[in-house]
Amino acid sequence: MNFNDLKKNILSVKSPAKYLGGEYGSIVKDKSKIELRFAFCFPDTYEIGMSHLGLRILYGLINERDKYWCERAFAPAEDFEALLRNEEIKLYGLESYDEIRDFDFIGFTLQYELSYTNILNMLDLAGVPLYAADRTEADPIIIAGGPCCCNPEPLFDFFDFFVIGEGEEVTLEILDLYNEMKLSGTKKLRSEFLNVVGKIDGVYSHKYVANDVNSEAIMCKTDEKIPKKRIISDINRSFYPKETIVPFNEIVHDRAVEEVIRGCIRGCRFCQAGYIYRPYREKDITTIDRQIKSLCDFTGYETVSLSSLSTSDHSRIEELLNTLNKYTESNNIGMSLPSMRIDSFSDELISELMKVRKSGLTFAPEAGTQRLRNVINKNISEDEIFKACESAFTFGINSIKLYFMLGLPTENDEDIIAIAKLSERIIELYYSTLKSKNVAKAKPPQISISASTFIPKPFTPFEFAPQASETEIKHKQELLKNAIKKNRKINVSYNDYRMSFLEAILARGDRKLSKVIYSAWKKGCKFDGWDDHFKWNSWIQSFEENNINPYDYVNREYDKDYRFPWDHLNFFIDKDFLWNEWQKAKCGITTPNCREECSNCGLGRRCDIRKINRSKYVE
Amino acid sequence: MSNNFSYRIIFSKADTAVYISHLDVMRTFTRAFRRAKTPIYYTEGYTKRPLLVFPYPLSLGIGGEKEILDIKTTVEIPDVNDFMTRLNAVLANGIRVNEIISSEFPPVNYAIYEIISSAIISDVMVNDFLKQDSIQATKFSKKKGDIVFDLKPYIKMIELVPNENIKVILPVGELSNVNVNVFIKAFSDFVGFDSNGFYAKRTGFLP
Repeated sequence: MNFNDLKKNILSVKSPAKYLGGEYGSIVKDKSKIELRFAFCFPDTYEIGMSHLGLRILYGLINERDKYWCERAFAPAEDFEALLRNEEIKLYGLESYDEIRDFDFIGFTLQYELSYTNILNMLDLAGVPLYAADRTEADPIIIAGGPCCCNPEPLFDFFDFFVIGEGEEVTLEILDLYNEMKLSGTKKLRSEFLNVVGKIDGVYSHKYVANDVNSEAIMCKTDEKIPKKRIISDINRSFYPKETIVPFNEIVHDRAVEEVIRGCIRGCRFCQAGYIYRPYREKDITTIDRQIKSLCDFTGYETVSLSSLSTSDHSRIEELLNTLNKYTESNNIGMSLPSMRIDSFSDELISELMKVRKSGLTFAPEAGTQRLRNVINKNISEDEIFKACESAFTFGINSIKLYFMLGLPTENDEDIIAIAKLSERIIELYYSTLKSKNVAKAKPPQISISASTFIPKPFTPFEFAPQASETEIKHKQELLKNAIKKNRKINVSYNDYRMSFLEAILARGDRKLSKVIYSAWKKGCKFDGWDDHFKWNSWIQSFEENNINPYDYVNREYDKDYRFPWDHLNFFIDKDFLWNEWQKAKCGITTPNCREECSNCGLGRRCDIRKINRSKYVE
Repeated sequence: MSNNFSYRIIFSKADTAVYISHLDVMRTFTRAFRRAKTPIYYTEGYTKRPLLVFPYPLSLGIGGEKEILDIKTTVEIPDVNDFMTRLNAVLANGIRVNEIISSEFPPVNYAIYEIISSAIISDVMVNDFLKQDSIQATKFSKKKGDIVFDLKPYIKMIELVPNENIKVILPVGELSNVNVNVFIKAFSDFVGFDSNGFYAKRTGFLP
């Protein structure tokens, strides 16, 4: 394919720049000197994919090798997909415009269950057989990594293998092995490579077959070891991109991103990331400072965002912010600090925050009562929420966004009504705060409540929990709506319950779901996480056609001995630990964070938190 | 504003950069100035932003050879050529700075376009097009929707140049402005060609 093939109709497409590459920082190499080609595929739009840090890390990492060339491909929007299909143009890499079916590898990142149909659609657009079993020596090797690989079973039939855990080291080990075999002239390279790649730690290959009697139990065909997740050896020395792509059009997170922490000490029981990204690791202040400087100098970005699951948990957060401020202030760079826990807000930290945050403030109490927050181990109190709101109001903020979940285990009507009460009390607090500060003409306060549906995810203590049924969720949504009806200063938004239901099924599913995903894609399902694309009826039909009852995956409580489809993958989280957490949850007993006390989750010596804690008190 | 220094940047927009919207070009330059550590003047006020003025923005899909960007700096740039080199080193593909003017900026009233067609255009077609008493054209306005008007008085010059390309001069600026896409639509309708087969670039400006 070349640019002229696209030129004639490209103006009929919305924001054509995102399909044409050529951005500052994108890497174009001399094809004749390349030994291995890799297509990094993101199964969502360009705007979302380019905002993803993992893409930027792996793109930089692979391209650091002179002889390897990593390019990008994204899920095309409907208008561009129509253009590709009408003009019979195969999905191409944005850097070379070459068809990705001719590459050595096509790698997908699995970030979100509702993008699974997009994977099939992209493979189809690329002209690659969708089922691994149908692919031959002429086809590229199709692999996947990312958080949803903690239960890749529903996609098992489509991929040649999965990469479990952190990709920075294992990706190059895989590519190096392949390239070595390629250069040594291995016959039937593809199949030979797939036969041996399983020896690399973190690779989950087709050697693991489903036991016919109970497809939920996965057996190993050979005596290979259990696939276990990869953990990088040192976050301070690990590859981090200095030069990164700056898209032409505005993307979702259009700024420099610096990862400051990996893992999380909190142990919120609903949060999958909080368990699968363990152990907790911090980057040193000098590393962060250096990486931010080179990123901002290269990109010219005017904002840098500190990324982690909970940035305020950094043991030296205030020292870190003071250090960074010296550089950002003198260079007119704004700092964005998402993911701050409100219990860690000191006055100093809040004033730091307010320097850059002029719009609203977002909190995630997740549940309306202290009882339920204890159940989910979200250990923040109402007082802490009020204290943080009060400080925000003092700094002139009038809009607060609150995230809640509906359908949490043990939730009752009281918990729902408490959400409305909490919001009302924040409004009262707003007026009393301003009154005490003698602010005469105040803007009216605005509270936005976002109430999503709880999804019991693998590798969390709630993996044993059922998801609330449609009737229950409807009741809860109705209840909340009625509780706050009279207040125009509060608005509530819900997500589509059926979408959360599908997300739960795909997150928890087994290998039988591959054919359901295939049927759904055949019926035109794609971008399932987008309201305007979501086709629930087509999904229901797909389940029916394959004689699968979707409710079996989500609507019941499991006991300790139940074999989940993901049980054979080792994420270093003990099932006993998860079970105990689940029992404690039902009794409303909280678990201290990892910094206060180790709860023996299973990481063992892989976790360095004690060392991090010590370093905090050294000075 | 008294201690500011004004510069006119003449740049080209070619290849895939033609498909970058005006807003995106603005962002691209903002970041390029930051990368090149340009002492650019920032507007005062709540949200500070660099003062960049594109007096004659290009429509999406139209190339440009001598596009204009006016900037202000807080410090005088000692070596304009060095500045140009540094800027070009940090600009995306397809966007190139070719000249930086620091003295008088000449006035601009017209723009020259070259239109390339995938079908062959003859002298007869161009002459017949111009021979019409009035040339019916449609422009789109966000407020009023489609507006039909007579294009003829706006065409300052039209001729066929080598390789069967059309060269046309149209008014540009605040007083009178005709988008080259309006011309292409009117012409392609007249000769009965698909307007998707035409590519235009702006090659320069006239007083």
